[in-house]
Amino acid sequence: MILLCGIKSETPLAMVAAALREIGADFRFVHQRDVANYAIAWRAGAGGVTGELRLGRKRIDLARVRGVYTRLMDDRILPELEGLAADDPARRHARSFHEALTRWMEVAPARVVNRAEPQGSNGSKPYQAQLIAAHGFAPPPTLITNDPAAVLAFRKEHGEIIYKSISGVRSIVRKLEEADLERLERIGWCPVQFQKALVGTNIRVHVVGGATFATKIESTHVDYRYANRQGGRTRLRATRLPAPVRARCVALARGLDLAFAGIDLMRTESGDYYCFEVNPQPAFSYYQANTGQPIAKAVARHLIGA
Amino acid sequence: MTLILCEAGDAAALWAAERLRARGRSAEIVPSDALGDAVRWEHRVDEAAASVRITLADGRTLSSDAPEPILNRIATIPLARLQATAGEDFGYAMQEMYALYLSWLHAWPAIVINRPTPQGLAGCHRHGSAWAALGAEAGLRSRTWAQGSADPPEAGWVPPPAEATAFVVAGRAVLPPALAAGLAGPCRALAARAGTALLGIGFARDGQGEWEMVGASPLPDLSLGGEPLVEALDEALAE
Repeated sequence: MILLCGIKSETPLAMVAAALREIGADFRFVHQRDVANYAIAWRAGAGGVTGELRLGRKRIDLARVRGVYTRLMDDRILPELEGLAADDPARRHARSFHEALTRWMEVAPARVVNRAEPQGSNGSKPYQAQLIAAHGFAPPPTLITNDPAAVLAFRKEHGEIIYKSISGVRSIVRKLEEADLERLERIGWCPVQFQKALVGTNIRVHVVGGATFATKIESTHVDYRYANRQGGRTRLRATRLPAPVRARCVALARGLDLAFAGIDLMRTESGDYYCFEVNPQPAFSYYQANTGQPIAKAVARHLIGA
Repeated sequence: MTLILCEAGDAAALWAAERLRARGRSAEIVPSDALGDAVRWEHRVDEAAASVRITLADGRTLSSDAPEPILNRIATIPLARLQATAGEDFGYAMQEMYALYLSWLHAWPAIVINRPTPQGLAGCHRHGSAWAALGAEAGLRSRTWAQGSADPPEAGWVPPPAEATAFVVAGRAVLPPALAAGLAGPCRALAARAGTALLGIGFARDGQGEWEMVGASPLPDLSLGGEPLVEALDEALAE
């Protein structure tokens, strides 16, 4: 039994469901919008982790669950709960259900893609960069400071530089332009992250267990994810990485304890590979839809232990 | 010299500083508010290494060029300055500063007890269910954890009260007299599985009077460990 947790119609979840259907796997949606009809109870101790999940009339022995793919949204903003007070029984039931479900996922002896704890490294880019460097990928030269003079010296050393958030919040990459220098003193109240602007080809690598799917990205914008909405253009094509780079990607994802990861690389003209970050919950559908790579199928096969 | 990073009013940190000094170790308290008021930050990460230089308002610097061992008791980032300056960006600024603290403490090129994690600046804070499962895996008799959608959503973050606390410091177990010496191995195994250099492990007796693990914390009350814990800390900070 495989559980798919989230909103049924969300594209990555729907793609994995289709792949599971194709390979004939037994799966169930834990569709958050039906939470009012769900219940869960479980125990952890000397006897291992046991319990039962009730989805409407269907009862599932949690010991039979072999894999979980989770794309849960914040249950507090479910449309079904809109307008309900914090202490409304429906809202409290939803919170209790999600709390119990997610805590079970953390300790369940199943393949969970991905557990919450290892996803945490993505919340600090420089922290994750240090883990990335430990796995043999170079991070871009990075400076975090609240000192404008240090930024100017860094810019002088590296030429063009970009700035972006240190955390995972508002993670948009922007070039530091001349006009920005006028307001540079504002970094004094809170340090900001600056990086050397690398020139090369963006490559997104999806790692699923030991499999890799690399996508080459050509874009008119520094941050290709936002090119289309900023009037630009982005083109994606499947590509093949050298075996040592593929192996490093697999080792990096494994080292971060992520069964499924989206690794953002840049290949420079000299053939060096830099790693920007590892996304622990990649919305792979955009890449699969544009390249035809069977990423969902790989996730499905991982979930069933194939 | 050992730097003790802690929040104002952290009695356990002050106790540890005093006891470490009594053993001849120089220990300097760096309150988190002093870090919060730091006048200059410079943290670099590249292929070769990571570095940090923090200049405090009183002129002291914490620099990876001259790193001292750190006893890290920072549970949360200092908020006073952010509250005063960040305005509507307060939530964002808080995330940014947490991310920065996580990175610089990870990068510090000397002993840090405990290293930060995304789940806690002084070590990984886990839900009671995760400690119960980890404890059982480590061979400890741990109190069965039961949870369900019928329980209040707030349950689980406050562990049941402990009657005795065992400690593990850098692979060395420090047990109170009430606990059997045979628990040392499983306690060490739990700390190793938790990836935590310093761990306090709470025990309580069940209905039959048998000891069972009821929780664990990377930020325990150090004074409960007494002189044996200080000795272990002193050794670990000297390594």
